[in-house]
Amino acid sequence: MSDVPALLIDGMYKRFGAVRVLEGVDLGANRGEVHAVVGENGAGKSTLMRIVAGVIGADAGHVSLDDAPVNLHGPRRAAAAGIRMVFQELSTIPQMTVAENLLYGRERTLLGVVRGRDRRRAAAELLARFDLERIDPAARVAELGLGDRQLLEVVKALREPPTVLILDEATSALSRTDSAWVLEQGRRAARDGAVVLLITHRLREVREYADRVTVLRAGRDVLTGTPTELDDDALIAAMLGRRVERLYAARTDPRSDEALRVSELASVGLPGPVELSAREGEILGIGGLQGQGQRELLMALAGAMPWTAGRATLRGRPYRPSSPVQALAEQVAYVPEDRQREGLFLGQSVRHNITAAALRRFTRWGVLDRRAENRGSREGAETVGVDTARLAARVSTMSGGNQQKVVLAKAILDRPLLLLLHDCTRGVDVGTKADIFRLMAELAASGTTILFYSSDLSELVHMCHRVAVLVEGRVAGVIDGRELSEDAILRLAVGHQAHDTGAAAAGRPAAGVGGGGVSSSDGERVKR
Amino acid sequence: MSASTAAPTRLRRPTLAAALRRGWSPTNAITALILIALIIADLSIQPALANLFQIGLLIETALPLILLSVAQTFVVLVGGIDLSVGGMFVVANAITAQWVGLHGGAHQWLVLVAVGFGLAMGALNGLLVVGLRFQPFIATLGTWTIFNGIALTILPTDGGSPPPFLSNLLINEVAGIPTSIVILVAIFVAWRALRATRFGVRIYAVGADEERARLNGTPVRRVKLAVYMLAGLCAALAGIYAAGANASGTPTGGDPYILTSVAAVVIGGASLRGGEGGVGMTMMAAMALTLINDIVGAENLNTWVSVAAASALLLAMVIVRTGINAAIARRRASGRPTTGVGGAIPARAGGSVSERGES
Repeated sequence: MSDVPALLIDGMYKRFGAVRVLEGVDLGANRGEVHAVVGENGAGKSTLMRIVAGVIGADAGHVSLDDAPVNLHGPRRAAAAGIRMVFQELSTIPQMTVAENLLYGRERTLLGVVRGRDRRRAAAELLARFDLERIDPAARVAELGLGDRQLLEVVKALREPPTVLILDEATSALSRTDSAWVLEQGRRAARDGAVVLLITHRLREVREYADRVTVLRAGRDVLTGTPTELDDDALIAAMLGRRVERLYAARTDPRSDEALRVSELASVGLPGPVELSAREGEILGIGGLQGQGQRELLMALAGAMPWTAGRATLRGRPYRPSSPVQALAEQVAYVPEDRQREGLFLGQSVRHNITAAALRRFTRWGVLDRRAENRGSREGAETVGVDTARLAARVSTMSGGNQQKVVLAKAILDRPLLLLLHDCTRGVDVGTKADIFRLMAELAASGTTILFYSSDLSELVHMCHRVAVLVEGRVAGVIDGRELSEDAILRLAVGHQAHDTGAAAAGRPAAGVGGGGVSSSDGERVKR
Repeated sequence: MSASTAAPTRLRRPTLAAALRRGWSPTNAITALILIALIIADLSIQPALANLFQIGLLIETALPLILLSVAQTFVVLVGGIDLSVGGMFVVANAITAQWVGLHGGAHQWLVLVAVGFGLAMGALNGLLVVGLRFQPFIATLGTWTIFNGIALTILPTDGGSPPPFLSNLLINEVAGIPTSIVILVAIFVAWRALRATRFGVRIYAVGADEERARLNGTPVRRVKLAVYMLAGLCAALAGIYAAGANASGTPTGGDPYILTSVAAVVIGGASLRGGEGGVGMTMMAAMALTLINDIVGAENLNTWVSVAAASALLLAMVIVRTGINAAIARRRASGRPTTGVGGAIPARAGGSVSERGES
């Protein structure tokens, strides 16, 4: 009896549509313990934590606290059981003031009425307890910086002493000082008898703050131990697992001519400066943890996000698109992350979707030439392997894999010089993946430069000539063909050193084309 | 825990100036300026208006619209829209003029039936939106015509006979002040009180972001249901008031109020996406729209002038607000170039970070 951990997660299953996210996770954590949970993107860490915090329901499995089952039906119930979560995507409400947010649902009332002054005072006291007097309780949260908002999130979770405190990548957007502060709060909560679950990508934080660590991979818990008995290599190996796959098409060598050069690029959400170069026929991988600016980089290059600084050349000509239309005119095509929302007109036919971005080619004096459109869309469908008998069908009736092929057909219809792929293989079946990779290889062989972001590291390793790893909106390093491995990418992304020296990237020369080996931001070589 | 016994943290004294500063925003200022300009215009055209009795009469004509706009504000605050306010208005109006009137002064409490109907109709809207996940626009588009039909069933033509006590109550004075003014003030006070309750905070939280509100432990569905019921209540009060003040019922008089109430909400600075705005500003806007009518009437202009002026006001307000928001966004963007992922904040030891100046 006494050996039962305070928090016990037992046989947790969860699927979203056809995607199985959790496949029977067991996890036990004790009071007074900081228990780190690590794993690749998509391993199911956040899903598991959201279930424990009552945000989403599980398909099967249960959670017990001090040997009693917990009702996790909604965040309210979980909170009532003392389970508090510091959310990765902040839960404070920007339009409301700091005081309103901090005391939300806990306001002291007189005949049901809250006195604004009392609330502000209580908030000020709460902030003072955490040495955050510099935050004005009357300020709107929207006026605060992202860092302060994350700190508020922690204060809110620790308003009352929690039984279980979940820190879900709470430090990923913070400076080192603030990260240390947040983690210290976690450790203090553990000292006061709470179970603390720490989700992080930074192995250093696991070493410094965790008493135990559990590795999740593909929805299962694969390894649990103490940080002292597991070194980084053991953790990383457990995170990646062993996988043998033969779905990757053979690559051809890129040509020698430089096709794209980006200098000092910065954009909204991409502090930069980003330095990149890619050759004709090269597949350049964009790697890194989620949310390090990959999306912003691709969108900026696609003209879908304003450039705040920087310049670029495409095949020797200056390139700075201010709209997707301009990007298209320069033969730059973009395959967005969310195909259903950004990539397709779901209610329209396959044919119209394929030709949507190149209508100019199919119109004469402003009138659509149906026959040309038919021919064009048929060719496009054949290239990507979509059944031409279904050209008239609505896209919404097709499978996810086929939808993705339609998006690709649209993007490559005009033989782009530069193709930007944002996680285009996520949520598609293996067969479609193989098709996509074959297509990428063919395009590259014909001279198209491809920037390929994928949340799946093995795809980057197998499909790319080089991989640029982004950390906090900068290129932390570029890994060259011979040195390219999931290990190398993850090491650079997790940032043994990269995020500690944020300034180092500023003066970096453009990502080295030759050279070989892994160069991280401070020039240190990472061994394999 | 220990902090509550610590020395009280210094806070600015709550003064009127501070309260105004907190309520200040460019859009609010513009709405207030529009109202003041219209008051001045109306008074210069009709100087005789400058006495309490005349003001009371003006507010009397404005009150149904004000109450319906208040109803609309609540729904808009949670990101919805209620096209059925006019329908709920006429149902309560018809009930007051017909059922309550038939019993003369004998059963004054029957007015509560109209109130109950308002709550029930609001609850129906709420259940459609919350329970069956109808879009608010569609749900209330449907109930609007149903409610209009119910009103016509109760009271087939204009007329009826609202209970005299109601008319006496509503058109007389309270301690020398016209009842309409007292009611107007009461609405505002009630709103301020409601805003200060937990429910009030929750309305804004739900409107700003339902998912975040849920993460904070808000019973989102219950809040929305309550908001629709509250709207039904306000619309019913408007119907009762109109029946009493006009000493007559009108089962078809609700429709013109529907879009006008939305206009008042928008002119009052609320966001149709929810979470922004307030009843006080809506009341000002509804008052402004009434003043336009009054001026047009006094000048003997065509009615289309009043419609056109109201529309122009609406468009101008939307344009101005878009401009202001763009300006604020631009200033914010240029003030802090490194927002987002890598936006590391200054070390705590560094102390003050107070360079952002919006309000």
